[in-house]
Amino acid sequence: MNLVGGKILAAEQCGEILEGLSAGILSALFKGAPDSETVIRACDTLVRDLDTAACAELLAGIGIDGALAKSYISELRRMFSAESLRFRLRTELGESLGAVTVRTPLFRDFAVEESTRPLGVILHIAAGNADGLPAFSVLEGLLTGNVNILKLPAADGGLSVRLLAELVRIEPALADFIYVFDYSSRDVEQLRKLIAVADAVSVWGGDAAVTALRGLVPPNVKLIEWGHKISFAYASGEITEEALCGLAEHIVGTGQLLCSSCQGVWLDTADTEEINAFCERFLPILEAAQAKSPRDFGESVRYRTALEVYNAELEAFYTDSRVFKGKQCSLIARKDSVPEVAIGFGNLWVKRLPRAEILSVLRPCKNMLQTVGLLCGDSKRAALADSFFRAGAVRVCKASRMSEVYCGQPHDGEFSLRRFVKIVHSDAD
Amino acid sequence: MGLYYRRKIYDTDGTDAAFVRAVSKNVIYHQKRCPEYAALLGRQGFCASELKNIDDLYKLPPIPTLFLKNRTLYSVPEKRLLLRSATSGTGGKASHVGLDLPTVLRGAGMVLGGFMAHRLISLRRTGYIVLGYEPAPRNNMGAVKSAYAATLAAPAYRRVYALRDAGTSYELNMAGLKSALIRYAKVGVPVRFIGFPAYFLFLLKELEADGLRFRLHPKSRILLGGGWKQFFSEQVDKQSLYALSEKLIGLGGGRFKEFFGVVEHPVIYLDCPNHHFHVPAYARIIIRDTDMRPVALGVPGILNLITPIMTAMPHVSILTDDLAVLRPGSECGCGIKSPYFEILGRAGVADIKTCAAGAAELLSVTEAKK
Repeated sequence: MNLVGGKILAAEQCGEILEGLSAGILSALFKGAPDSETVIRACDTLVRDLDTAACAELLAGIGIDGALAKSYISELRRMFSAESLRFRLRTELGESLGAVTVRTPLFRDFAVEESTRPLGVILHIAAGNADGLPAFSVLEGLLTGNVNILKLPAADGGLSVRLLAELVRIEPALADFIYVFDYSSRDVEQLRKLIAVADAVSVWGGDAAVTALRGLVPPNVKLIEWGHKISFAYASGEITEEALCGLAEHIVGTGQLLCSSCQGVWLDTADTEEINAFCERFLPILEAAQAKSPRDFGESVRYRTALEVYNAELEAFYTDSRVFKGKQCSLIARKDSVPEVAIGFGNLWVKRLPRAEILSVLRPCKNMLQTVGLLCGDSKRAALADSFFRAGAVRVCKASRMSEVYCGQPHDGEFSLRRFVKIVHSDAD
Repeated sequence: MGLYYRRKIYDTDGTDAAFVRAVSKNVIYHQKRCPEYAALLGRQGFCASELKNIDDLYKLPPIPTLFLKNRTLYSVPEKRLLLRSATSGTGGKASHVGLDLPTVLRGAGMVLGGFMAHRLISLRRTGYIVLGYEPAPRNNMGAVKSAYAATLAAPAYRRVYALRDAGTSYELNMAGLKSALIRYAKVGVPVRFIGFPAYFLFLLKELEADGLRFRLHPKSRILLGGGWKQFFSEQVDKQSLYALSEKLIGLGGGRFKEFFGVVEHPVIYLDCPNHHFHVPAYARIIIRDTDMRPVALGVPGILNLITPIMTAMPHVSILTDDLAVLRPGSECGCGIKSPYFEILGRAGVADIKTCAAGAAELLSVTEAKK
């Protein structure tokens, strides 16, 4: 689905739109985007009027249902409420967008004024791993006063376009600032045209997507990358039952699908026996969490997972690892310390990583680490967090909170709104 | 050799005992020559003496194709390999398979018997339209080799390739295909189309767009292999493909012949007139559940292919990542009694995008650099 000027268009109509794109963009830039408060009010109305039943149905379609779907929807409501958005703007941009600060610089005898302004035009190239995320990216662009062009991911279920069309219905002044195109990543010519009118390209996606884009984006267009990240848990010393339950619930709840989802557990030990003992202790807890809130990702995923676990059992011979198999979950005790992506869906690895080796083992993964969930006593927390931050992680929290988001939270080490603005300065005298 | 050189290629009942003996012998042979395989079986607690009759086959631990993408197992020195192939290797990893002389000889019997049973052997000069790559020394893909092998079933009047070898790269040769078709129709030779279903549909669409229609020789055939799954779920079902083909080149469903095969398990499966893949004498199929236990006929699960054909590599029992169902031969109605399987799709996470999977690529890059 394509969306231009608030209208949903068929693919055939897009050719013409694309030809006239730079004229449309110029007129939008000339007019200037509606202020943040207008965007905030429209969003607030959007989530207040949100049809819960329809949303639940959409979520069920991607394997999220029951209590989890309910919590997702209420989270969505909170995230998009006027209160949250105002808080985010204040936290991330400090003074509001456009507010002018006047000061006299050190060692100079003239005054300057500085203010935060939109970059101009942002092309959002969204990933398909979270339905609705593309709309969220556009919203951030609107909040910061930019003209937004969204290239939908191939797997988009249509949620993004519906949300954005609804937003324009509520606030028609936003119509000229939202373009959505349904091109495939293979439509290089069209992509080039979209990139040509943009000040910045904001890309979410895997290694391949990001690398491909680096080749397409000319030097005078800023590239804002949101690459894939991986997250882990780290256990040291005495581990409470409660902490393990929290970790298990997190693993089951996210299906290990998010960037912040735990892929595996490192133990602060060099002793294989301790790793096996941990697996024996944690497996029934993980099993119980699976049984309590089973998530169905479909038959295909069930078989794939079974194949991969069976394969890990065969591989165990070569890698000297050991598979602890539970009901719809498994733990693979390995001898090395190297971080890797788990089989997922309740199947993760457990490895050794003595505290002293954290930095040397994780350094090669710089810019790829996101969250580390800690399972340890309070006294160790600060020192461990410091080690992980040095090694490149950007969030350290209790294992149970790894995927919990809060209002005004930085994303992958940055405030995302800041990446969509520039600081301009001029003479104040 | 009795399993491979035979007329009644679908006599599974009559060959059960011989098949189990051959598998058992093949397993012992590989255990002696491939220590890794022996260790693998040993760790799974398997002993070849457990294979007494056909119902014991499931006890032989199957090797996932997934496993073979990371490791290649050989039972003979590599210099003894006559033919080598690789899978197309999505995601950069490919399985390598090599065949030695005994395997090639058995395979020749299998191909001959299969083609004869399916009346694919012909002495008429035939015009070939190969909907794939022209063979080239640098291309090692199994699909290229099997497509070429299929052009040997009838003497070639001419072979034309959709992707023509241009020295260092391949170029799409749509004009060449069209002019070859015009010529074949004029000369009146039977035509054989060979390749992936997607390419065949593409060719038909091209003909349709150009307003071209042909009356090809009635003995012409369309031989298609692989790639139905991802393709037909979205675009077109088999019946509409047959109808379009009937309309444009005068060859309906009855002239289609479908192949199924995986590189790791070099057995050719050919579809019957009802477009079903029946199990031949030289293979058996087990469908497994998520605990790797065998399931009953009619129950879907993971496709496990078994054959004692290979001597170069211990690929006796291969676990694919295809989901399939095995049905009793009597349900087909074509007269072949051996059971047949239907591919239902691929076990995968394609529908679910994960951040972590993307990061996996990055990790492997990082590891390689270390």
